[in-house]
Amino acid sequence: MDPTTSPVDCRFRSYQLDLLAAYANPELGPMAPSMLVEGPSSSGKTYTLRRYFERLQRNKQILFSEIQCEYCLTRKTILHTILRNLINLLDMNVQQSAEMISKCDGLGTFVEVLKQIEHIYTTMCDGARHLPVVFVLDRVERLLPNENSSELCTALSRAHEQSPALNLFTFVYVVNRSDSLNIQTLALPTIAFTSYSINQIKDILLDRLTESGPSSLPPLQFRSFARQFLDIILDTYTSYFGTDIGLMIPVLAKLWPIFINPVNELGRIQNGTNDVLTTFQRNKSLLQSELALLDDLASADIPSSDLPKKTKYILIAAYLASYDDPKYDLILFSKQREARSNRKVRHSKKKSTKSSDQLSSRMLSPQAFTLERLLAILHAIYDENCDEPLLNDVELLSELATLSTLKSIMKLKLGDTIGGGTKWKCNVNWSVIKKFSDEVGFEIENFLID
Amino acid sequence: MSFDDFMDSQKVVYELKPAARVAVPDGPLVYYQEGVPTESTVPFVRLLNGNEPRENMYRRYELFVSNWAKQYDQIVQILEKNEKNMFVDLQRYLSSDEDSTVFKGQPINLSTALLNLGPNISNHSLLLHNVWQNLVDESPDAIVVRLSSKVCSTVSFTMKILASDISRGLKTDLGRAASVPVSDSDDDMDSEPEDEEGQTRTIEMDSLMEKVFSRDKRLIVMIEDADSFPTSILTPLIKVLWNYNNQYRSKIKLVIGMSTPFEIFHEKLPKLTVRYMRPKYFQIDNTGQAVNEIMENVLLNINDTYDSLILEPRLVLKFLELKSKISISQFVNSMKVIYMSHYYSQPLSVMWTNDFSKIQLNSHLFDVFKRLPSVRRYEQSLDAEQAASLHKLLVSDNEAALGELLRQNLNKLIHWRYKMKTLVDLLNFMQEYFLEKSIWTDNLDLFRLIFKNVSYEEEHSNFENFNFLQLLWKKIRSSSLHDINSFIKTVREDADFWPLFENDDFEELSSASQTKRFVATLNRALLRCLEELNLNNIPFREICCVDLSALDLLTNTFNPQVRATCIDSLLNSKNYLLNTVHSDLSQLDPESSDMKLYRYLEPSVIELYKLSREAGVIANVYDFYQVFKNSLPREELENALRQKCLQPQLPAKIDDLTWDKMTLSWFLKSLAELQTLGFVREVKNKSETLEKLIWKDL
Repeated sequence: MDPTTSPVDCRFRSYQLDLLAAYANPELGPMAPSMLVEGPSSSGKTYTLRRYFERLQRNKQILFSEIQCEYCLTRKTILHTILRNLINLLDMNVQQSAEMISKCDGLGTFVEVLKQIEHIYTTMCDGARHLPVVFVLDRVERLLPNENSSELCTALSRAHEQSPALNLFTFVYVVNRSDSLNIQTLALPTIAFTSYSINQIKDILLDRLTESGPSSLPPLQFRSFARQFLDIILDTYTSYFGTDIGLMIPVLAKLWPIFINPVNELGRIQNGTNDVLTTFQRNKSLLQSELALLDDLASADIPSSDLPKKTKYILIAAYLASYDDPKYDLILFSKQREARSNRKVRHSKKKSTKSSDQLSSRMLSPQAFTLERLLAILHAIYDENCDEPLLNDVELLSELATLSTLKSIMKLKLGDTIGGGTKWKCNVNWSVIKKFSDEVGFEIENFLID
Repeated sequence: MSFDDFMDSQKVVYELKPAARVAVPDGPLVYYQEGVPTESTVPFVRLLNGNEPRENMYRRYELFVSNWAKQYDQIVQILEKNEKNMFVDLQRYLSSDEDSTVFKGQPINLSTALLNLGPNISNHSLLLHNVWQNLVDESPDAIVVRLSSKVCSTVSFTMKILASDISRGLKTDLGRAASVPVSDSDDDMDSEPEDEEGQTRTIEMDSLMEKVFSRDKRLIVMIEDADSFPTSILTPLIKVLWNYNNQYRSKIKLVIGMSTPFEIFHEKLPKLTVRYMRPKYFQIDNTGQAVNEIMENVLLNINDTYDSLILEPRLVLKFLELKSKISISQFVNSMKVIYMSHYYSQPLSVMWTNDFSKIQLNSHLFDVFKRLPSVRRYEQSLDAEQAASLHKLLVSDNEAALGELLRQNLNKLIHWRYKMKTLVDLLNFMQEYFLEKSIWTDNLDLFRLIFKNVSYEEEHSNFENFNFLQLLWKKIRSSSLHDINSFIKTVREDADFWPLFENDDFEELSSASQTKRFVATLNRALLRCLEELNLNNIPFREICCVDLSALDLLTNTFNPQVRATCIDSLLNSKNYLLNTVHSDLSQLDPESSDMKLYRYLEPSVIELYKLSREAGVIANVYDFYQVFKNSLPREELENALRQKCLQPQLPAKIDDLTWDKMTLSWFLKSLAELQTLGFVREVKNKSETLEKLIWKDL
């Protein structure tokens, strides 16, 4: 059977399907024990594989299982999932299957458990072998950072070398770039996917959109309406989307109601009132803003919860301590104003000649400071700007501790906690600090050196 | 026991040990100045140097217990009422299933409820617990999992906790199902492998999820303190949940508790993670409102006068200021401490009751009457003749007349809250009657407007206090005669309002030109009312009023200034060592050896601290020791020590070596103490050198 003529419905991917059929076709003898599938995201890798293998499975030629590695997080979970799916696929009614799976605690024991399962199966079926099994490991490189996925792939690719019993397994690794796995030297068959062109994407999306679209319009008219919509939006935002369908879909879904609702209200498309171009013109300002593109936690304005004044001052002081050089502390926070103003002049002169090309410290990451310095700055700015004196009590310190559990002020893990001299950092950015200082009426710019 | 003495008793006390050879006399070591403890189980003491009738002491305790219980009940009721409505929106959101998709196979985002827990961080864990409790109670078809950053240190650990919580949830659910007599055989089938799984402890997320959703359950995952979670845990967690949510058609809901303001929080989640969520924002914070209601209740509840103490308006204002800082439980604690200290230390608190039969009066109590500050103030405010007669009354032992005076003023106190309510009601009525736009929105708002500028010391300076009513006055001046007259009529007919104006010329107006005078009359009446509300003018107010000094009590109880107290005790050791709380100063013998020694040498850590204050930032240890040694008056000390210690312990003549050894031992011990207190530390990389920790006031 020639797969190109088969009803595998994958538009624009016949080349890759041909390749796939060459490497993984049970009719042509044993399948490749492992395969690499690479290509940029949203180039139809998983979809194509799924369609192809599902058809083979339907034809009772192979058994197929797809594993979303990104959500398994660890190698161990992937291995367990492989084993469990295998047991399910083979329809083995094994007692203690859970126990068997739990015996596998890593790559070292995986093959043994696999062999054991194989052995049980053959004894159950009187020596008969099962169909070839294909495991698609999707996005296998996106495990947690400390999980070494290339090691996993190397080991799985060599599993068939360990026992002839394992030659019926095929592992397919789906990745963005094959070199991230460091297994090119194994000379695995590789199928490269390329990005869709923008027109191909439009076609694909159009199918998806029309399939789900409940509409009062005649199908053809609706199709052309949807096509127009896709054209206009995708062309508008093309520089942002590139060819990533994953980026497009949320934006399109957000905008679709704006266009389709006038049509649904009227029941038909009337030129000049609710066709795509008119709606687009009417909502131009909406589209010019970042509304559709922004993934924000809250769309509307929300009442900002307020912090107590003292807490704001602590955060401001932490920011100042992080972004002001300690050598200017005397100038900035000294109570003797003359000293402050005199030195400021001298300092600014010096600075202007010396460091024209120096980055503003606000652009750099925060500097670490000692707790005592934070408290001293806090006292200096609080006493000057508030009527009441700052009480140096238990509450102040517990407030600091709370802020550090909330990670607004971070304690660095060096230094001796008991002996003092712990280092801290401010973890709140400029815009928030600016807002706070405006709210409490504190002119923070006067206290920043640059 | 006076308030100052109570404060003294809260401080750390150093005692001079009696000399070794002096046998310690039996008897109480602590000297009580005002209150004397009894053998009874009641934790109160007999006040007035123990002269208070025993019955009164019991009565005070009884009153404290019952009144506080009533107050606490009211607070709890208010809180419960507030909580009930708080979660309705959240609950509705979590139980709704909206998944409208435009594209076929479009991924469904994770419904996420962002809880804003308000500015009061100390309250958050309580609130989160309430949210959780509510979710568990109100959604029987859901399994609720709590994740807290304190236990979730790594991703795999987090997943493990998630898995074990889900399986526990399934089990309890099973238990619930089992208690229902009709059980499907399917259920039984299911239950067996589950138990097995519990034993083998390998919990597979996939199969768990399958089980959860095969029972048509929802899963609510609550991330309690999302602020403290590292992003490296949150992101995978949300991704995994999103994946399952897609597999099982949006059966998973996420609840995130935000402890920081939104501006800070939304920077903590990467934008790519936000893409997985469909967030909605909820305001879960009612502390402010609850405190407001409690305060309003305290101020204006006229129903049970005797059960609650009167808080002075200034104190209430302070409390309202504090409310963004303190949690509800802390607020309740503060109130309790106020009640407790009042009943503990005020011998007259027994009078605040409608049942006088249980009170024993004796001459000591009458003495207290005469010495009350409020009575003295009252006496000063009278003119010479009246003051004289009052004075005569006070010195005479005319109990009947004194009782009459007491009764009169108690009545004033009883009616105080009623008057306050009338004033508030009247102003509310006026605003409603004349103005379309309101100057204040609720009673507390109004209360704040009335009292924020009141001067208690110079009462005549209050004449502009009601200036915030300008808008109202203007409106009255321009309104029609008919309107004003019908207003006057209503007021005259109202039994509550009329007494306020009884002394004024408050007749219906005949011409429009009189409106100006009418406004002046109104203002005058309000000012008079304010004056009557001034608690400082009511004698015997100590019986039931709590004034601003309570704030000091609260600060010292809950937020002691550790450092300041520490320095203070080092500088003024007398306050601690020679304290009326534990020793009777009149019996101290200035010639005793202890006292003599104390005069020459305070405890050595104090001497050392005083020296260190004079020293530079960096000091050599040896120099420090030399200064310390030379600062001691050797001869006098030797004599004092010889007197104090047994002869054989101390040689007749102390040679230089022994003296050095002695002082060195004192020095080293005190230095260690100073280091522990955090005044000095050793310089790193430089041996034998000390560095002062000298951030001012820190």
